[in-house]
Amino acid sequence: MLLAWKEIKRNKIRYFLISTIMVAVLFLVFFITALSNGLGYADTAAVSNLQADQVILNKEAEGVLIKSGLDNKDISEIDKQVDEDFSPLNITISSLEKEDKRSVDVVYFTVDIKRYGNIAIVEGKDIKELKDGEVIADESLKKKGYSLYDTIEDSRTGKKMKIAGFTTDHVYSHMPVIFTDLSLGFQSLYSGSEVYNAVLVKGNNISVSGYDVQTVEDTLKSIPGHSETQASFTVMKTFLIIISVFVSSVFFYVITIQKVHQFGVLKAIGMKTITIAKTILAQVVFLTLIGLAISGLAFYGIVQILPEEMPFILSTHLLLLTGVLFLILNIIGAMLSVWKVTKIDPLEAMGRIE
Amino acid sequence: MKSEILKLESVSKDFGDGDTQIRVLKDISLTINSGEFVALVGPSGSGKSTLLSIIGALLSPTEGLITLDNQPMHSMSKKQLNRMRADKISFIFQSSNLIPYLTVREQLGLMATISKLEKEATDHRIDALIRDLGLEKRKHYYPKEISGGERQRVAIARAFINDPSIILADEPTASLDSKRGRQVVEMISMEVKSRKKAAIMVTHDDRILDLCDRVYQMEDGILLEK
Repeated sequence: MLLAWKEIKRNKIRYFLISTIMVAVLFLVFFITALSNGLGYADTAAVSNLQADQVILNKEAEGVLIKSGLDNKDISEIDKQVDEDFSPLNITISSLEKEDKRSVDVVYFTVDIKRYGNIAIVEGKDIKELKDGEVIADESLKKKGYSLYDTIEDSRTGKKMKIAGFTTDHVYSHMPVIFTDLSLGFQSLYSGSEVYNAVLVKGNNISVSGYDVQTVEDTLKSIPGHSETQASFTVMKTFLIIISVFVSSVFFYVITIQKVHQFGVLKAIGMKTITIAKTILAQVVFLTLIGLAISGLAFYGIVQILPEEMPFILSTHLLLLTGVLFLILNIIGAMLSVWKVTKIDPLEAMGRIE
Repeated sequence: MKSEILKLESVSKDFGDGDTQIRVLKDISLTINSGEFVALVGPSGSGKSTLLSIIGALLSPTEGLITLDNQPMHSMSKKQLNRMRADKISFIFQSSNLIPYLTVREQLGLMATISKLEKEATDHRIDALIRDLGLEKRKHYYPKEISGGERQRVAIARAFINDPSIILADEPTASLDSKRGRQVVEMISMEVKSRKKAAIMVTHDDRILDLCDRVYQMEDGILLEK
């Protein structure tokens, strides 16, 4: 291990270059991972956090939440067939009036607040404790200058509402979600009559004839563009990792080839192949860890200075997972160099002038 | 008192196989005792280096017996040969072949680690060798920072660290001018005599043969004493 370290110390430039490549590529991996997570989050977090086990849509919607429409007749039909607790859901995009400023786009999730499940509250009241005219908003609305118990005004209907609580992780199409009760009437904002997108049911094993029943997860996947976006990002991430592992493995392999003569000398004076292999592995692990640490720090740094609108989300958990994956792949890549070392003949040391 | 260190009996070595087989070494017998410094001369391609590689446990003979310190090397496994190299055999190469990223002191320390020697005793020996070979001022220098002659002296010191039975030198003067070359060979000779080791040196340089006890001539795989 001492050898590994001494060599790195004496060949700073060479190993600095390898580390730099690793740092740059890993930074990109983190960046893209965070961006894909962030974009996915901003687009659909509210849907993935729906308080339901099953989502009932009309047949024509083909699983797409916003294409589905259910009127009061449908609701009572579903009511007859389903024993479990359920709440209708209407998704309406609108905006809030703001004095002297541009209006703020929001999404109303109109539900039956008495029957909709408990959403995570970070401030204020629970959804079941709401009184008339009170709503729960996503905390991203705070960034637009609103705070608890502020009164908001819908710009289309002029309806005034009071923010009685803030929830978290409820954004949809990059807009904050506002939970309103059926009594506020947003379900009839556009069509004149009451129309809902879906019925949310707690409990599994439901069959409702004449309607589509699917899980929240399936609902998420069928959001137009969602799977496509996530799949493209996955391809990018996969290729980035493959490329970076390939580059660093080849780099180490080339260095190993350069040192064939030196390893031959070490073998000739009695050093075991496994000791040399350990030295190479130690260097790979060390440099990969350095690369991970620096790129991780650089990533956190860049997130601090980027505008808040950039949707970045990268949990420490995911960061570590990516790091460990990269480390394992790099160690596998280093086996190429180790294999080369096992092939080196100590005779290399004889009869050659450097 | 002289004791037998190395003994070769009818050693032959073939390269290639079938039709293209070439007998590089033909029926070589040789005995070297402690305190003896033997030179091996001959044109290139005569098999000098092959013989040295066989004695150095880097190659196995096709036929014949080799014993080093009464241990039969011809019947050893690769692992055992590796152990022999680490414990009983030392090399001095054409170029010094030092590890570029270790200081003079560390080169010697590494050799001690490979041979699994006890730290305290070795530290003592390393310091003694550094003194004997006049490297004290260069102890903490890297190979790049010292002269070719000094490098070769470090290589000699490295060869003696593990207290080997035999030293094998493959043209140790090839990269040095005649004055420095002679100094280096004098040092090898001195160390061999004072520590009662055996040594074989392959060389092209006739001017240093007077420092050796015996000179063997190698020609077309046959060994003759001059």
